[in-house]
Amino acid sequence: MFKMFKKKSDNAISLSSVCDGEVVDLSKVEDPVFSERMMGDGFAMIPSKGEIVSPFNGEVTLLVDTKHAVTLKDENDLEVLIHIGIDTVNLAGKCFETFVKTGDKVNKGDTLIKFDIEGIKEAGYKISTPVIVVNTDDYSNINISKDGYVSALEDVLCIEK
Amino acid sequence: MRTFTHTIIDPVGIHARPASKLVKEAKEVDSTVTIEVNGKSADASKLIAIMSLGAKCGDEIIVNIEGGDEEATETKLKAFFADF
Repeated sequence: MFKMFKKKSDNAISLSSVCDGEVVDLSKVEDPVFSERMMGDGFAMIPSKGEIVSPFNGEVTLLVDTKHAVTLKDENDLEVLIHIGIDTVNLAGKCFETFVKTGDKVNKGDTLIKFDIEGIKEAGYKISTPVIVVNTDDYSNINISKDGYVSALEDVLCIEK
Repeated sequence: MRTFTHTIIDPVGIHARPASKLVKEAKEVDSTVTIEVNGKSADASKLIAIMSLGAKCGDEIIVNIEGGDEEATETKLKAFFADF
């Protein structure tokens, strides 16, 4: 599965997209917490379908009460935060439906959260969805390997130990 | 060890944005900072741990500072929490 990264070190792992949509650089996200990589490196998606799936087999380490963000950990301790929309904490759960809870084990492709893209936009919020490697400090290099429009579960981020 | 309490004023509590700012502050100081709320405790330099506390507006948090320049850390964190 690492063939496409053969120029990279053997320690490279890939992280997949979490929904159908466009992969963009974090610097394009309309919130400095994400665009300045304060939370860590990663990528962002502009979802075209309101469904977030797990990018790997792992555990839900946190599903926030307001249903707009989820953190996951894989079996190699890669920790990822998926944050749907910008400032969507203010929606207090409106427009979001969750399919997992904190502590659940998940498989790659399992539905985590469904959301109403139009509803979020109508409420005045951007739907940019940062996908952040929370433990960025544990890795030497993180790069987007595929940008533009993708389907869910395509490899889009290359992470090197 | 130094300890102070703070009541959360951010209407939506310590969600992703304030948590990430707190983590940044905690990583910059040489003291070990832990946050306690509602009987749960978390290392202030761990984002998911802090978000997992689920501190809401009106909750009283306890900030524990241990090691390093505790006085400077306390001053810095009190200034930080004034906005949250």
